[in-house]
Amino acid sequence: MGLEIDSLPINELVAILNELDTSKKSNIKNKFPELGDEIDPGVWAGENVCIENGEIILTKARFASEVLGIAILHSKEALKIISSKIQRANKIRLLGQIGAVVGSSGTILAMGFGKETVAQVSAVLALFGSISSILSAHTEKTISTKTGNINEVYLNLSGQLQEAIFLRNNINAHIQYKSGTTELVNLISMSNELCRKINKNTLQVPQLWHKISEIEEYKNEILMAEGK
Amino acid sequence: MKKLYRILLLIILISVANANAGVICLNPGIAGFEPAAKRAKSLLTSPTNQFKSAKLYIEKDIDGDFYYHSNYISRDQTNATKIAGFSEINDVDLAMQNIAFPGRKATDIKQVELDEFMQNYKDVEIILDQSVFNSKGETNLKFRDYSNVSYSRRDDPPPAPTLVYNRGNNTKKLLARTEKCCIYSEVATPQKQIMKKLQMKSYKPKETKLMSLIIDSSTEKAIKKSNIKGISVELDNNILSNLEKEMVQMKGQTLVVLGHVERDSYVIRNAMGNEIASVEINKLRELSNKHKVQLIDIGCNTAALPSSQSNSIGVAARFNSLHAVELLIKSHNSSKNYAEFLHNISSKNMPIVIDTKIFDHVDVKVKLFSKRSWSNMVKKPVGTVSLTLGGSITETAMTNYGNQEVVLVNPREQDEKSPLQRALERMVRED
Repeated sequence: MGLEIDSLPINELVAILNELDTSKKSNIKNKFPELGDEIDPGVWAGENVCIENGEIILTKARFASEVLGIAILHSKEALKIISSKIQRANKIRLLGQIGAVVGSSGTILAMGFGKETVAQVSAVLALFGSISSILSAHTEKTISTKTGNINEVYLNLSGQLQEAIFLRNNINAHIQYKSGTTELVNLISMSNELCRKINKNTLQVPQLWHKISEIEEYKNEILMAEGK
Repeated sequence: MKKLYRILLLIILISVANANAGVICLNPGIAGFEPAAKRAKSLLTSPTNQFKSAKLYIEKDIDGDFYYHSNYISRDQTNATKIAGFSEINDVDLAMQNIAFPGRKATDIKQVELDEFMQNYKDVEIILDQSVFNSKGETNLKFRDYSNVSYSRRDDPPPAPTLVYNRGNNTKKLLARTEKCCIYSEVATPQKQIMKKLQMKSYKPKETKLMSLIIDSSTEKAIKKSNIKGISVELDNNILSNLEKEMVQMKGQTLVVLGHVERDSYVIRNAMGNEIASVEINKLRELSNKHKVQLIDIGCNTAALPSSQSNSIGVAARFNSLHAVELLIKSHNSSKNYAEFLHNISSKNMPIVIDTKIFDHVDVKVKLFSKRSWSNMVKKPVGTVSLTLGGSITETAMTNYGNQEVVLVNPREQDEKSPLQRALERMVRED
């Protein structure tokens, strides 16, 4: 007997997995042969009503746990990159503001320079202020301006990282204590939804994917992220 | 199970033997069925006594009964089995049993023979003559689960490979392959004419837009990376009204819709699997007809949906959205006409089905040139007309313009001789 549910998609989890390099991707795929073509990126356009038996749900739960681990690592790395971007933008903005304030404050005039020199230096400093403001805004910009700036991505991703850790712990506990499939179904659905949000946010950080593919042992990192 | 089958077989054989009108023939031929036998022999390979090499030709006679002509010579016989005149036999399974064991009692059939039959009968190649189907491509012949089926038009041998697909209402339909892999159309459709029509319609990447109704990061990423123009409408229940605003500006252009189909609608599901909106496919088709936009439905089994307008392009299988986008990008960038586009977008995993009236509502503006100035083509047109690609193109062109000694040229692509131009040139030369 299976649990009749409308659908139990794992496509967004697969999308996270798909960003890994080929060998890691196939290592993980090989662990879950029961998932068949569901582990291919994209969605299968067809009737969704399916009978998910307990074993498949359990496999999907194990898969979700594995991929959430990767998502946690992705989010952590993304947050590091975003954080350094924000700091850089703040520094540029601060320097520009200092320049603008100095340029407009009359300090240079007080230093006894000639009128022409003062005018020139003030103009350059004002220009520097404006340019720095543009530069800082540019640094904060993400790929798609529709999804907001980097500060918003940082805030969203921080929350999603915590959510991923929470969901992964929950799934692992349910697998370990063999609790009911209904709870697992909910957790898998929530994981897929969460991974869509993480995908959306981490897509704003193109440097991330390259960096992730360089990491050999992601599992240790995951454990560290969970504070174990 | 096998015992049960024996009993079933016995009942069937007895019931057939009791029928009066028909004949299970083991002689060289059946009187009155000579033309049918001639057609069958031209398509079947030489007779065999190996059931796994057997082939079966089927056509419908004037009384509405099926004529079965096999190349299988059963045990102790010298001629292949033929069946005619049985109104009871409209099921290929039943015909197969009588072809394999003609006139034999179930108790006489050895287990080894039955085993061989059971192992091979679903793989027997079946050739269906055009008479098996009515003008709508429908038939009362039952050939469920046979995979090796082909369709034969009497004026267009050899038989074209076919595809049986589920229409979603527990009925199956046979489609004939129009071209190499994997474009199909209804069996009653004149395949050559459809291909001609597709070749005549130029594919213009700039006039093609994609609307994805699929929520999936991998698919979205692939679309973003491509150079296909997208239509971005809010994925809620107002999709149709939002889409109509876009369609108003798309007259004569093509809209490719990529979506997940359930029953007769595109259903949009979020990442949790919950339905957030749906669009009835036929309403979308009506809308595209209203605004003269050519619709290409890339959704699972969109081809299975009966359409009142019947001018769509759909898919007859379950497919992966990312695979579809990859094929679409490839087709978009390398196709000059719709025959090429559909050929490029189709694959064994994504068989494309085109409706009979495809592009019938699309007008192609053409210039008219005097036939005398053919050598100096495109210099001075004598006029411009709008040619609708409906019906038989050849007939339309010949009837309306053939007698006026004109050559039709597509004005938009005068320099590079469009497929339309080439096709029309050919028509005039043939004339």
